[in-house]
Amino acid sequence: MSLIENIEKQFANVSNANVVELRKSAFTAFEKLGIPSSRHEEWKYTNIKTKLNERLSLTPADSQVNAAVKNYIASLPPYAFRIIFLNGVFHPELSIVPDTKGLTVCSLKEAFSSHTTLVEKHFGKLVNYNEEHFAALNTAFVNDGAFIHVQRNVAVNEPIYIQYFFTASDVNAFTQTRSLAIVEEGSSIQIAEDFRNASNINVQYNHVSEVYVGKNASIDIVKLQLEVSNSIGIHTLESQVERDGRFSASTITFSSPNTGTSNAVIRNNATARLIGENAHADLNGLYFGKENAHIDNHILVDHVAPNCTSNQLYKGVLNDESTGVFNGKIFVRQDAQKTNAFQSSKALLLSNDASINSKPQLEIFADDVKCSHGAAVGQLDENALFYLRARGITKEEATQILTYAFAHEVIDHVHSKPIRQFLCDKLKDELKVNF
Amino acid sequence: MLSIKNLNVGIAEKQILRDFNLEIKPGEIHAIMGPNGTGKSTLASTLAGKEDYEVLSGEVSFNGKNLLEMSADERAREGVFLAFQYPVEIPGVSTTNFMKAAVNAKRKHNGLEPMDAKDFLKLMKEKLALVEMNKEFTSRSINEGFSGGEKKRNEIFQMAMLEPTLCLLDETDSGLDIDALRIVANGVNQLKNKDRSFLIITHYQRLLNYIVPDYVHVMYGGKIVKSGGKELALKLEEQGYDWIKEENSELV
Amino acid sequence: MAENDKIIDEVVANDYKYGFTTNIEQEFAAVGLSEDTVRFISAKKNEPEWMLEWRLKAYKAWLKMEQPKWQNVHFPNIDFQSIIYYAAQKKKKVINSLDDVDPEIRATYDKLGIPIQEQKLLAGVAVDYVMDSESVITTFRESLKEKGIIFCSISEAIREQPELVKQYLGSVVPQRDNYYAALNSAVFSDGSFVFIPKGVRCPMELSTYFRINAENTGQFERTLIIAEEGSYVSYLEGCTAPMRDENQLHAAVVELVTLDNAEIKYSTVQNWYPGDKEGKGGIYNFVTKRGMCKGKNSKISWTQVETGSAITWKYPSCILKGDNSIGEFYSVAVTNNYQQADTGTKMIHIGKNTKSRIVSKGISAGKSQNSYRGQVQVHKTADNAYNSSQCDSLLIGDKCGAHTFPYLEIKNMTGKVEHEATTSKIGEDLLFYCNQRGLTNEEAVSMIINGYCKEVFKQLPMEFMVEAQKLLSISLEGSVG
Repeated sequence: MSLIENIEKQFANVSNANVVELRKSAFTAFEKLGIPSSRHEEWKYTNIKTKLNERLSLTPADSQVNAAVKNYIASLPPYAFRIIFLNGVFHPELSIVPDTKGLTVCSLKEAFSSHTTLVEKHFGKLVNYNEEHFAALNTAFVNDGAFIHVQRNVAVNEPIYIQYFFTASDVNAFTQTRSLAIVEEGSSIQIAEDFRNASNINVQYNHVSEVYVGKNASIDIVKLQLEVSNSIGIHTLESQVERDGRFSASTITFSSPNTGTSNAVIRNNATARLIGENAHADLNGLYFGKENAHIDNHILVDHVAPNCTSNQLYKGVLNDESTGVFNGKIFVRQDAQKTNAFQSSKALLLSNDASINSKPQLEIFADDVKCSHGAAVGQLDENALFYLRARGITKEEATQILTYAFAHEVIDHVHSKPIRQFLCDKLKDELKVNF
Repeated sequence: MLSIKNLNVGIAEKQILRDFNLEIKPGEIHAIMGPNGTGKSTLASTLAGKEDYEVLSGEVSFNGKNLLEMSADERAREGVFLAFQYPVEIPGVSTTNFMKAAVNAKRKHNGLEPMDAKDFLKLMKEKLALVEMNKEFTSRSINEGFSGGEKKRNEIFQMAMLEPTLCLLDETDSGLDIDALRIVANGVNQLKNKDRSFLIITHYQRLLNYIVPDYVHVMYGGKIVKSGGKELALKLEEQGYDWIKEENSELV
Repeated sequence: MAENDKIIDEVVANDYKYGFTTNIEQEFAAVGLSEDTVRFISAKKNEPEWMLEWRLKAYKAWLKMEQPKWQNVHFPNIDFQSIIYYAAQKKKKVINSLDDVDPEIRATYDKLGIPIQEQKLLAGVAVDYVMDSESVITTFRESLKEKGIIFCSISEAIREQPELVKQYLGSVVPQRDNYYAALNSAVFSDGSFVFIPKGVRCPMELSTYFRINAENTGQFERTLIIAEEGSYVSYLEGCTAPMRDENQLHAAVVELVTLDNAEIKYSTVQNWYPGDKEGKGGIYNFVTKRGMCKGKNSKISWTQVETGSAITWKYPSCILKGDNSIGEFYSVAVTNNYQQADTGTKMIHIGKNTKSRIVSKGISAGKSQNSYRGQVQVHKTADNAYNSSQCDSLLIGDKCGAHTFPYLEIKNMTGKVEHEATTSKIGEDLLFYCNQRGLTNEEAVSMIINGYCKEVFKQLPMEFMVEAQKLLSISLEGSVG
């Protein structure tokens, strides 16, 4: 049975009254698009078709809370807001959602019935499901997810922590998860999305985040992919930024080993569309590849309106047989005069079996712009290494310290203090540095 | 040599210069001071012919010619020189080649043959000494990777090369350390002669310790509100601009 | 801004200056492409059987291939059956001196300003003219022959140097390499062949002027340059073509091979008819140029100044196979009106300590689209490979586009790759600064552009550098305001 037929068969089981028409057209789009092969330019370096199981099941897998889930939740810092999903299913008993004026945090399922207008206005409207294979699939089939809405002129000071656990018992399960964040004019919020394989078996998931940044509003979103062994994770983050709005996203991927072979395949699509004047986007990322992990970051900054600015900073450290992909595009449309857009991608190869494919792109249709990108691949600076060793530090330790310094710049850009601290600790653990 | 009468200038529909008047005679040094945003740089840019600035009304005559009718490059060839507040970088174009093009453009304008290479190098060497720059400077791309001080010295060097009759210095002293300031001022003092006039725009009195002006004007609200001699600058240094603002509160 | 538009319009209005045709009697192959066409061409050229077989193999491969669509260019489908694949001058006679050359051709060269006169020859340039696929004259061959250098048409080489041709033809660009290379391999008409023997430094710049003349005639030059151990050659290629209403296809293949310690410097100034102001007509230039640094310490350097063609699709590349070999690519690509260019390079690092450098300067004006597409591959074997790329785009006017598509693929931890790209415009501040020093907009633009492209220009031989600067001034005359 073909992939499409398989998915088609299961379509009958999925329905959701409010957005069923949209889902149908997303499904039609997916039927046309299918699962991309490496012949597709955007998937040239990640042959996802061969990575995913031949058979894919969209039926939510069993969502029994296991010890790994409990332990991890217990290890988390005391975040004020905590929303827990297990295999795409919302677990209110594990979540903490205090009542806050002007802020709505609930499951997407609930929002489908209780916030119909907002959902209809934004759900499936930010992603381009006519061109993006997995966004189309997700839009058609997603059952549940996180819904966040901030009313006008509300500053939410505590970060919203969304945890997606995967423990799939069915190896064919292809779990669809989703977040929808809407921040109205003049408001601000910080969000973390944490994805974690809480089992020892292979999991496959397809996550979509839609983010709407209203006029003069700001969103900082951090995507944490800190335990991705035996995971095939496809992430799509789409944001739309209105006039004077600020959007910042940091994607942090650590393919820490836990089984000896990572088997991680992570694809991140991150898009910022600057549709109002004087909007700003920061898209940053840090990735550590170990063993046979494959980490692919695809970034698009779409400058639609004039006088906008954007920055991209991506850093990667690749070890063992890991492979990295960086594809960053700055797209400046004809009306987007006075655009200032910058991109920097740096990767360290720490093993001779590691590799990186990098494709930084500029597509410019306006003339009064200042755009640049730089991409560099190499090793740690020999002189710096020698300097540290001349001070009595071992080569191994010196490498760790310099790698930490290299990576820390990205984490420094995370706005939320508790999350930044959390990440700093994780980075130290990862690199085994103590200072 | 320069006569500005009732000049009104705006940019992007906002009026900046209001009924501005100034007379400069050959060989005179005028300093214009004033708080930020009073139109000092607008005056310099307008005189040099920057198109963004719209002349709403008024007259500017330069050596008997209507300056406002000329394009920016014609004004330069006629002898107006602007030392920029923020000199631009031109990647790949060396100062030597840039100056060769500029000097010969002016010579052509005056009906002269292009300068031969030997004479040109000699001239450059002589003028470089004026601003204490070495030859290596001139083979680098204009202003690319130059420090703030180097950029400003390069402006004075260009001024020396082009031998203008009216020199506009737009905050040439801003951001300079004392050594660079001394070098720049020395360069200007050596270029001073009976036919060449200077209009020095500055925010700080400090520069005027090195270049002695014949007149000091205070600008506020788009016009000159006070004129005097060197002592006026000292008073401003001691008392700041608040008393000027108070006396002219109706202008804002 | 209105001033900008006016000046840009003036640029757009600047007509192609080399648009004229020469009337010479032609002998054509029948329109269209079939196995018979391939046989006809091969027979016309008195080729040996092995060459015909080689062509037929390419033709069969081509039949199975599809026209590539991935470039960032757009054009109507080419009808490969409406093209004449062979046109040669009818009367062929042995030419002993320049006086024997058809006066019409001589006149054409004079109009183009091609330096064919004695003094030019004395200046040390041997010129091999290709007029509609057929070699017309080769000069200075004798003095080159003394050093063992072979500089002749590829047709002649096939007849007289079969072993060299058999060994190297298709060794860098195989017959089935890509759609247009396969087409070229099947029907190539003529081109140049250069062989520099061991230890010889070619004493002069070798140059060839290509011209497209007959209407509806696709041009399929084939160039092969071999530099043996320790040898050096600098090769110049330059083109202008007459004005035509219909689109003309040009699909050349250039192969370069350097053995140990050898160096080839290949420079191109390209100014083919770009089409008119409405984007009508113009040359389609789909070229495969590739060099193989086969030996250790060898070097291949490509320099190109591209101002012509309606569509340019061209990636002069280097395969750095020999240890310590060096590849270089220096490019200026100017597009105006409705021109489209998708050009760049590939640097394939295979050997140890291989180095490559890419300097690409794109200038877009009018309604044109200018793309840089480059690939840097560091293979697992390429210890200590180093690449640095600098790709800059300059925009003139607000109706054009500039795009950068670099692909960096690194599979060796000791590899070091640095890529930098910028996009900017000739800004008003920059022009005002120059105006203030007494320069007109035109003088300023010309100076800025020459400065912007300096790194590339200085790679060109002296006389070519002057020509290139002139070409740029013509292409962008009166540019911005």
